[in-house]
This record gives sequence, structure tokens and C-alpha cells, in this order.
Amino acid sequence: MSNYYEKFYGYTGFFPILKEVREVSHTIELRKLLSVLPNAGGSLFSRTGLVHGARLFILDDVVYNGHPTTAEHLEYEYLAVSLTFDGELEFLAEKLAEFGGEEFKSIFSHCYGYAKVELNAGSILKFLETGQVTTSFLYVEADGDLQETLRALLAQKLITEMLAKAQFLNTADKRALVLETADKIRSANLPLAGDFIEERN
Amino acid sequence: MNLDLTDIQGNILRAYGFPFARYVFLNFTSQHQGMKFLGAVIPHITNSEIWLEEKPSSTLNIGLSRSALTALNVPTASINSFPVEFLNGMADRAKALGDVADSAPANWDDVWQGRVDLWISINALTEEDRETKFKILEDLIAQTNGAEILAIQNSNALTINGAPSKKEHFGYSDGIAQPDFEGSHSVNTPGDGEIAGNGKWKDLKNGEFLLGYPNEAEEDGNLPVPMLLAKNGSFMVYRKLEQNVKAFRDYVDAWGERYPGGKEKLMAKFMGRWRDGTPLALSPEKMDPELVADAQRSNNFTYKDDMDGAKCPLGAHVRRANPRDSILFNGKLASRRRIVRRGMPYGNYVPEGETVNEEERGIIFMALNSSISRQFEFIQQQWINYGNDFHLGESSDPVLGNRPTPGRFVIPGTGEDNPPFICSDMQSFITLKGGDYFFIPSITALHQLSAGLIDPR
Repeated sequence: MSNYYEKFYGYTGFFPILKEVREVSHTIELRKLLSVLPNAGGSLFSRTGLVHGARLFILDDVVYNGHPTTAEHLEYEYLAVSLTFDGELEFLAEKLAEFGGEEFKSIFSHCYGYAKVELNAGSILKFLETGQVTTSFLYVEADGDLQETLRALLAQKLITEMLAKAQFLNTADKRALVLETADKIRSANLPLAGDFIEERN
Repeated sequence: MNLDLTDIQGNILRAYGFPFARYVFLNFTSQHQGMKFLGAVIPHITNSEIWLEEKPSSTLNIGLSRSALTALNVPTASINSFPVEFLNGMADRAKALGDVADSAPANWDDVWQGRVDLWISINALTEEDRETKFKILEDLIAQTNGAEILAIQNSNALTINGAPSKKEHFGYSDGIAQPDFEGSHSVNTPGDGEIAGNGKWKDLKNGEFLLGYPNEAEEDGNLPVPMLLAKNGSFMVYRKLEQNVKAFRDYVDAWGERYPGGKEKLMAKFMGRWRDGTPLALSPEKMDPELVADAQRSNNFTYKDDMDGAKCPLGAHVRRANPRDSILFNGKLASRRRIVRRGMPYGNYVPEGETVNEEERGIIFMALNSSISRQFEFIQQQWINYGNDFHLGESSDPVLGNRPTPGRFVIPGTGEDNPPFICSDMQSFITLKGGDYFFIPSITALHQLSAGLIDPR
């Protein structure tokens, strides 16, 4: 499958936004919602424990200033979704249903086709497949799967702290510190994807 | 490359090398009086003509901020063609530059809390010469009633052991390496230009520092319009950097005791040069006065045999500010991020071992470049206050970095006998007290501005 690259899945989807006439358009409401989604740890996609990176944006039109002068426009505005995650789309749909059903709804209910979606894995999968385009675009490049990557980042942080302390300790204390650090690395709760970056302000 | 040296202000192509300076900040009083003042100043401006016999006893140069262009009623189409960072000013760029916490604009000196149209610099051989030139400036102000002085900043080479010195307050020799570029007055010095291969160096394109000429990308860049306003001009960054000498000395005293190489070597590792200027890349174990005195050798190095930083740490100040070939493309990237540095200390030097009093002291940092965002701002944001390009993550420059929360500095090791050393709990040693971005127009452009003849079409 062209969306699949080694152990990573590069998902790209376009979801037409509802044109329904109302006081505030779906596009305006959705844009507002996207602007306040957390971009550090704790987001819907971060909570699935599979997603390395997610980008959501609104593709409202195509802009063309050249010649010939016939203006072309998109018939719909689209919510564009780009995700890089571990495993198969089925797994992601399961995790989305488990960890973020309501939040998923708050985003995608502004799009055509969502009305029939139920908050279970099968229904979410079907919906994601409906908007999917076939491309091998990976939004994030990673060496290992998400859990390995997060553990490596955590280990790097704890080991740096250990080294800074260890250089002034005697051999016995150094040994104790190494064991303590190893234990911390093994037992610490893994951070969520995005926890290492600053929250937008 | 033939440059019209009479048209280019004199602080761009050469460093004056005078021990006394005064930076005067002014506002125009009105458009018409301001134009009159500007016209009156022009004959006193020092240009780039080569001093064949002896140096003049003093010099005078001028820079205009965005508000100066507005005050002179320069056409909007022309003002809007200036780069956005210049239009917005340095305070507006504080977050990107890492000028936060104690260095944030709200904490800057009073003069920077409002509009500042002009920077006028006087460099002089003696204090008396400086006063004489300043008196001329005061007279021009009185005659034209076109400007008012907002603040004055004196700056002097530090007097150490009774003699003027090239050192700054932390004790390092300063201003050693400057970019060689086509038309600059410096005699070509190995290491100052860009890497040409086979151990050779060549001049950088002068479009990196002067407007209106091809830069390293063989482009003229996005120049303000009209060309007559831009050509032979440059952009200058002015920053008053207060040095916390006590904090720095306390830190290197404490950590110098712990570091196996001792304090002097630790300080060299921070800077990438020993305090006398000897580069670690050429002499990693000791100062070498003969090497420093030999301009053919003292800056003639690259990092290709020291990619892990065993000699000069990857995060050392001089390696961050000019990484040469230690980043991708054999130095090509670094060639687009060079700045000409002009500046001098202010305040009195406190000899080592003496109690550091509360007087103000620091460095007036001035940088010239043709694109403030591509050159100065990139260096400050990505290389001084961040470390990703050097695989150093969030780390910042040990000497110049702004660290609202204490940081670390890693001195790479070479093996079991020489393990890496990590300095922790490192606070900021520098606090920004203000500054802005200034346009340094050519003499032609100053004439056009003073006559109200800027036509953007």
C-alpha cells in the first residue's frame, strides 16, 4: 500500500466542509477550533500513543494569478488532515474511538459525511477512508516507532542529568546514580508526543 | 570591484580603531527642520576614502531608524519597501531574538521606551577630540533647530594596567575576526573571508554587507526603492549589552575549580579562544602570543579536523557565531550569515580580584549587514540562543546566551582519560539594555533625504 512506509503510515485526507447556511459558517467555526487545539502534548492525536505528528488545516481555495485569466475555484472548502503514525489505519481508528471520540466529533462534524459516523472504530475507519487520498507523504520522519522515540528522548534527558551530576561523585556514588537512572528510565511514565515542545502561546 | 568610496559611510568598510566613542540618539523636531539638520550634518560625515597619510582625529557617522523615515515624510511606497524587521524595529522582534525576561524591551533603558529617529556616532583618538566633534554636532543642532538629543552613550576601549586595551569586561580579547569582503579595506587575512578550498580563503561578495551589489547567492536581495536610496547603504544593529561581571567571574571561579583543565582553560572553552585571542582550533592546550600576533595565522583555521569539538567545543561562542565548515556544505551556509562587528565596551574595567561595584558596564554591540533577518537575526536566534544546528538541542551560547532558566554547557571529551565535562546551573551573563535597527544611508541617499527628493517610482 502506498500510504505505508516501513512501519510508518502516512495518512493524507481531505474532507469537504459543510456549506449549510447558518449564522456562523462551519469553516469559520472549524478554523477557530483548529486555532486553539493544543500543539504540544495532550492533543487528540497525541493521546492515541501512535501518532508522531499531525497537521490539520483548511484548504479554502486555489489561488491563481497567471495567464490565462479564467479564474478557477474549488467547489468546496476542505479540512486537510496529514498524519504520520505507527501501524495500520485500523489501529489508529480504534485508538481514536477509545481516547478521543467526542473531540474527533467536534472537529469532523463540520464535514460532509460525518452525520452518519458513530463513535466506534469501524465507523471512524470508514470515515477516514472516505476522505483519504493515496500518497506516501510522511509528515514526520522518525527512526523508531513512537514509543521507542519517546523513550529515547526521555532516556536522553535523564542520562544528561545523570552525567552532569556524576562527574563530581566517587565511584560508589556514581554506580548508585547509574542504577537509579536506569531504574527511572525503565519505570518512568512515558511522555506524550509533543511533551518535549513548548505549548503555543 | 570599484566602489565609490566617497559615497559609502566610513564605518562599513573599515573599523576605525579609535579608543573613544560616543553614540548620540536624537529625534527630528519636524520634517523641514529635520531635513535642514540632515543637510547640515552631511559635510561632517566620514566616508570610506582611504586614509593615505594619517588618520583624522575623529569621525562622525549617522543611521536612521524607521521613525526617521516617517518624520522626514519619505513616501509611503518607499518606506514600505524596507525589510519588515527594520520597519518593525528590534523591540518588536524580541521574542524571536530571545530578548526576554530581564532582557525584554519593557526593561530597557528609558531612551528605548519611545521613538528614536537617529543614531549618530563619534569615534575619536582622544577624549578631547570626541568633545570637539560633539560640540560641532551641538552647534549644528542649535543652528538648524532640526533635532533634539534624547540620550548619549559613551564608549571607550578599556583601560587595563594603565593602557587602552582590546579586551572586554570578562577579560577576553575582542573584535578579532571580521569578514573580508570585496571592497573592504582590510588586507586579506586568512580565515576572515570564505573558504575557497585547498586551505585558501576568498573575499565574500560585498552584497552581503552593502546594498546594491550581488550577494553570495548572486542576487541583489530585496532592496528598498528607489535604488538611489538603497545603493551603497547598509543596515546596522545596535545593542547595548550589559555584562554581569560578578556573576561571570563567580561562575568561572566555581566551575574552574571543578574542571580538570582549570579556570583559564574553561574560559577558553566558553569562548573558543583563549583570553589573549589564541584560537583553540589551532592551540587547544595553551595560549600562544606569537600565533595571536601573526595575522596570517591567528584566524586561519576551520573545524574540519575537529568535528566533535574536542579542541573547540561545538557550543563555544566563536564557533556558534561563525561555524565556518562545521555545518553543512563546507562553510557555504555560514557565508550567508556573516556580520561586520563594530563596537566597544562602556563602563570601567574592574581588575580581577577586586570587588565588582554596581556601575554600569558592558559592550555596545553593533553589526552591519545587508539583511538583518538573514544575517544578524538568524545568528542570534538559531546559533546564539539555540543549538539545534550544532546538535546541541536547546542549549545557548555560554557567554552571550540569554537563559531565563539556568542552562548547561558541554565540553566534549576525547575518551576515558579525558571525559566530557558538563557545566550546569549556568545563568545569563548578559542583559540587553536596549537598541534598534538603523539604516546607514549612502552620502547620495542622505542628500536625497535632506532635499525631500525620494521618488519611489
